[in-house]
Amino acid sequence: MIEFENVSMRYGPGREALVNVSFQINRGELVFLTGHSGAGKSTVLRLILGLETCSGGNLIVRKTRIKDLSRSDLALHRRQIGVVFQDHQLLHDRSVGDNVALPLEIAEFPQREVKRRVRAALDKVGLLHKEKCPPDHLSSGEQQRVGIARAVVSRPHVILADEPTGNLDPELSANIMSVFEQFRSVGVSILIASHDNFLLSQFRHRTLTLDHGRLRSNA
Amino acid sequence: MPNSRPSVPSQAKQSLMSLLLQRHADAARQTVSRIRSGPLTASLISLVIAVAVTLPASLLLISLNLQTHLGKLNETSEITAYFPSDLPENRLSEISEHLHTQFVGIEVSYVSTALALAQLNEVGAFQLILDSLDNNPLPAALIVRTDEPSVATARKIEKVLLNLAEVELVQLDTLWLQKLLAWLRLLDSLTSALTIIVVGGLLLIIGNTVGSSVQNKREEIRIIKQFGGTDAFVRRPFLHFGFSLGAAGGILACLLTAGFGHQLGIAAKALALLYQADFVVVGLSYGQNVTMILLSASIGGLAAFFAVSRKIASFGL
Repeated sequence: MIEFENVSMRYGPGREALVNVSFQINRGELVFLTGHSGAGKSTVLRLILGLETCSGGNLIVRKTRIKDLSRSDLALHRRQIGVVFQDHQLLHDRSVGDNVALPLEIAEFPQREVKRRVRAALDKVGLLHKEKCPPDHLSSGEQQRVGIARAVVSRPHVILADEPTGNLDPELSANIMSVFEQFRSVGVSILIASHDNFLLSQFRHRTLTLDHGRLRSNA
Repeated sequence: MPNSRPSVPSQAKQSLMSLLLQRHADAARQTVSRIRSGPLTASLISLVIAVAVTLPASLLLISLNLQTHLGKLNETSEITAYFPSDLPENRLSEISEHLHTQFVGIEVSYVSTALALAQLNEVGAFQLILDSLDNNPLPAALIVRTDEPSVATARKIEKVLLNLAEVELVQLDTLWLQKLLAWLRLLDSLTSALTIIVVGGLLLIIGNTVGSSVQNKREEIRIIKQFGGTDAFVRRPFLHFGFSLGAAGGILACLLTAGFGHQLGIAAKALALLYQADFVVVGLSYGQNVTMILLSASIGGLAAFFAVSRKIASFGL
């Protein structure tokens, strides 16, 4: 599903974010991506999303070479990926429901379908009762769960999550992980970037460890 | 082997008509909320657009009315033939009959020397001069008017009159009309030039307003792009916003131009009364008003298109 072939990313002379990184994530696989701050985790996520283009090597997602995509095809590529951001990135002038509906509106789903899916996604993260609330009225943990609902609402082929449980207590973290597990079981590939040792030890999945832009372990 | 492009999500497939309706309903909804969030700004911009559009529209109104009125004048040619003051009146009657037999649809009127003097006396400035004269120096005249707009007919009449031995001078009175028409053409050129300046100005004003709006939504646009929003998706609500500003400005301009036409009508009527003429100012037609609104709205849409495209490119998303 996701294939890194000797991928390098250089932001300038001596500023190498990734060096010859190679790994593969299969369909229906959940993989953790870990490493210290600045190790290159966010770069990996940004490259998969097509927000940046790798300086060397090949990055293939769903049999598509990302650097070959045109501007409009890149937009279609991003619609197949659900993203959870560490800083939530919610639109504060829209309700929780409207935030979750955003990927569906972009993909131009019929309104009736949008309403049905938004309610289902919010129900999954336990926030159906907050559908009409503005995001500002929610706690940081709740905002994180809104971000997760937004990432899964369009039933993407790939889910990328940057510290998805960072603001959640162990019980809610387990709850969110069970949501990801449900998606994994139906063939969605999930890459979770996390520092959370509890999360990594509690849920046994393959872990990619980055160190100064190099892949140190893949086990 | 990698594919060249990703597949389109199958969920998004729906009838083209409902898709278009949904797209534009969403964009219209966002435009309404954008105007609601800053009603004063939107109103002021619409007013600025209206004033800018009213300028060339008013010139157009003046030009159209003058053209209509001069068109009526142009339909009649006037030829004046002057004769010696001592020419007997019956000879002038003969000439008049001769003209009537040669040309159909003409009107010949005789202005005697006495009548000419009386008319000149009505003009106060000449009274002192005329009083100092011993006898009437004015010639007798025949004024020939033709209903045919053709200059050729007027020229034929002029030729017949010039062939008369008694005639002293023949004036084909179209020069002043030609001069006036030249002024009118100048007014048209001014209207065109002003229209170009106004269109340029509107592109800048609306472009700047929409550009600021895009700048304020930078974060939202970034998030939309991360979830696969195309440039067209990002652009659409701003295009509606620019189009709405232009349309609102166009509607206001129609009202302002109608008000200007009304005031002009009152002034022109008072002026025409002094000349014992009838001059009614006709406002812009329904079609011209609709065209003005559509043009203004299109300029709004076009300005928004350029402003959003430029901003998206500058964001590097």
